[in-house]
Amino acid sequence: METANQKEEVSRFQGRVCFWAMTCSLGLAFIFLFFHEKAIAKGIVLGACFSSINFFLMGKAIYMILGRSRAKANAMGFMSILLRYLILAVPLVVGLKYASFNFVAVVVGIFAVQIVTFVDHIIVRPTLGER
Amino acid sequence: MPFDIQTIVSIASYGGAGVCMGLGAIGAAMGVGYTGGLANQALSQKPEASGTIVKNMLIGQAIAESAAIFALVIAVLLIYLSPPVTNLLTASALGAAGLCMGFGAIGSGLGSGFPAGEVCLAIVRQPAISGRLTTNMLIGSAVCQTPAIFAMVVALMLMFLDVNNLSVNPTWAALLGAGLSTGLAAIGSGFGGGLAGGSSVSGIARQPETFGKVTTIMLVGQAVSQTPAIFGLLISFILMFKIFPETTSIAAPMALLGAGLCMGFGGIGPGVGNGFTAQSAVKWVARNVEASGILTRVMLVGQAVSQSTAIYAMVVSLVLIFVV
Repeated sequence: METANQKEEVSRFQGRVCFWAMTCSLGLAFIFLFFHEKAIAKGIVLGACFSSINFFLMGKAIYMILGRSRAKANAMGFMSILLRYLILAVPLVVGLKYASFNFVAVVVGIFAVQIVTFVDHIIVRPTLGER
Repeated sequence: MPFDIQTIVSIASYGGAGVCMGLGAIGAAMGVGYTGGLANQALSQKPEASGTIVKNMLIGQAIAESAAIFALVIAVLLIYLSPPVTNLLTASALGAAGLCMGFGAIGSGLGSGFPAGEVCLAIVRQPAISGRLTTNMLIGSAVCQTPAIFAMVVALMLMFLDVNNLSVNPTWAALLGAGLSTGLAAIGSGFGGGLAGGSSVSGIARQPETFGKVTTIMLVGQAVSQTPAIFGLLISFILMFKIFPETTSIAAPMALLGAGLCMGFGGIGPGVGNGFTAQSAVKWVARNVEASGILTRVMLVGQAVSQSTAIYAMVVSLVLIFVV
C-alpha cells in the first residue's frame, strides 16, 4: 500500500513536470506564432513532446525493473535506455528532414524538462519562499 | 567501389557520428548509474522516503543525461546534414566534430552523477531541507555540463566552418587537433566539477545553515576546475581560425595535430586535480564554516599549482602552432 502511494507520488511529480514543460512550450510557441515564426513554434512543441515522453519513460522504467532478476533488470534497463534515445532521435531527424520544423527550436524543446526543473527550483520556488 | 571525396566525407561523417554517440554515452551512463546506486543506498536506509528519493534521482538523472543528449544532437546532425563537399577538409572537420563531442560529453555526464547521487543520501539525512538540497544539486550538475557545452560549440563550429579557400595540408590536422583539444580537455573539467558538486550537497546535509557559503565555494572551485577546458577551447579556436599556408611536408600537420593532443591530454589531469581540491575544501567548509576564508585561500593556491601543468600543455601547444 505504502509502495503504491510512493509510486503514485513519483507519477504525480512526473506528470507535473511534463505538464509544465508542455504548457511553457505551448506558451512560447504561441508567442512565436504571433510573430509568424511557425517553424520555430512547431519545433519547440515537437521537442518538448519528446522530452516529456523521455522523462515519463525514465520513471516508468524504474518500477518495471523493480523485483526482477538481475539479468532481467540489466536487459530491461539497457532496452529502456536504447528505446529512450531512439525516441529522442525522432524529433531531431524530423527537424533536419522537414523545413517546416526549425532544428534549433527542436533542440531547445528536447531540453524542456530540464529547463522547467531548473526554473522551478532556481527561480519559482525561492521567489515563492518554498524550501 | 569509387573512392572519391564524397565517399571519404561520408565515411568521416558516419564514423564521426558513431564515435560521438558511443563515447558520449559512456559518461552519462556512468553518472546515471552512480546516481541510481546511491539512490538504492538511500532507499535501504529510509524506505519510507522512497517517493522523495526517486523524485530527486529522476531529476539528477535527467540532468546527467543532458551530456549524452548533446552527443545525440551532434550525431544526428552528422548523419543527416549533407554539407557541400568541396575538398578533403570537410571530412576532417566532420570527423573532428564527432570526436570533440564524444570525448567532451564523458566528463560532464559522469561528473553530474556525483551531486545527483549525493542528493539521494542527503535527503535521508535532512528530509526537511530537500528543496534546498535539490537546488544545490541542480546548480552543481548544471555547472558540470559547461565543458560538454564547450565541446558542442566547437563541434558545431567545425561542422559549419567554411573550408573552401583553406589549404588542405596542414589544415586537415589543425581541424582534427581543434576537435581533440576541447573534447579531451573537457573530460577532466566535467569530472572535477562533479566532485565539488557532490561534496557540496553532502556538506549542506551535514550543516544546513552553511548553504550559502558552501554553494559559493563550490561554484568558485568548479569555476577553477573548468579552466583547463577553457584552455582547450582557446587552442581549438586558434587551430580553427588561423590560416596555415599550403605545404607538402608532413611535419607541419603533425605539429598542429600534436598541439591539439597536447592541450587535450594535458587538460585532463588538472581538471580532475582541481576537482579533488575543491571537493575537499567544500567538505571542510561545511564542517567548519568559521575557517572558510583560509580554506578558500588554500583551495585556490592548491588549484593554481595543479593548474600549472595545464599551462605547460598550453604553452607547448602554442609553440607547436606558432613556432614549429
